[in-house]
Amino acid sequence: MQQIDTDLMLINSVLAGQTNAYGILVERHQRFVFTLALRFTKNREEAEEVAQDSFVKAYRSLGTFKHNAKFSTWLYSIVYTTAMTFLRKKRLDTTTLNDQERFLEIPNQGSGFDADLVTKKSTYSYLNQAIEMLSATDSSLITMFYKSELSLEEIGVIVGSDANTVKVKLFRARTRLKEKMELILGEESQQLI
Amino acid sequence: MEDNFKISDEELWRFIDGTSDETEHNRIANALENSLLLQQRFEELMAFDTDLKKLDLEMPSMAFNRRVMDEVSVNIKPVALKTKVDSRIIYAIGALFTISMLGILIYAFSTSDFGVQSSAYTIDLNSSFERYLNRSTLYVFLLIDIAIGLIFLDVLLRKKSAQKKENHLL
Repeated sequence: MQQIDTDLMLINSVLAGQTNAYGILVERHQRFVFTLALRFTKNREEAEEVAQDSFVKAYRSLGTFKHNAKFSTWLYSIVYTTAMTFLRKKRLDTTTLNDQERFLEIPNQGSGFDADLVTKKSTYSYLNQAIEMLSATDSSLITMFYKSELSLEEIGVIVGSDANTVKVKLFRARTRLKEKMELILGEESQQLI
Repeated sequence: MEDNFKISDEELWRFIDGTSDETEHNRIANALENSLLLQQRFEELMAFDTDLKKLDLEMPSMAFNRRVMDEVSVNIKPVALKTKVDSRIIYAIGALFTISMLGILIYAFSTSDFGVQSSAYTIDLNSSFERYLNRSTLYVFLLIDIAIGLIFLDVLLRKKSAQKKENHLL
């Protein structure tokens, strides 16, 4: 609740002419916005472009924001639409060969840590790789459900579906993600997950 | 043991997410107590769910915020929608529209001949229209107008007194 109040206070400050207050809003939401954009573009540079575009669009339309709604839901709707438009423009195939190549790149793991930590880090990096292999719709849905603290209804507002459809889509996305993980880890997946 | 095969992954996910209804929740909870295989499946999904919850969000480059603010600074400052649309402009447009419509109607009525003539029959609306414009009709119209006026005045006074009370309380 505190978060919502503060967002609203910042929005009011921006509308009153204090543009710098928008910088705080950007700082607060940039990680999620960028991650969501990355789920669509699968490329950091393009994700930054989409995220930046979304923040600028949100700034321009800030006057139309209804104060009884959650700023995050409104902002993520803008990101979702912007990313979709970006994908349509680029006609990006989300399961191109590049994705497979990326899947083969295993990031360097730090040394000197205890085995459990390394194993856990590996799990998360494999999980990230598996998410990258999913379609934009599936990976964005998983990200929104696990990282945005939005309810199923609010996610439904963003993606333009009802809560029950979101529930079904989420189940399918998680099933596909589990399959990708098993594909990456092979026999080890059963022990690691 | 049989329950393990009756409960799908979708139902288990709903149980984990806390979105299953009471009947389903109780059925799964009961099945979990009685089936080791189901417990294994449940724990596997729970571990997967925990890993997903612990995933970190990605971080944009250090210059991201500055770049956004640079682009924002060249845009026109946003204003609240109610500030943007001045109500006086709306009222002025409304008044202009009403006056024009009334003018056209008055001109049309004053220059019209309400009589219709044809070779077969003649309809004279002029006389019938005037027939209804008598003293009692005017009184009825006047009374309705006064009633509407009084209702409007009552609403206005109620609003004002409510506002006064509110201000007094504050």
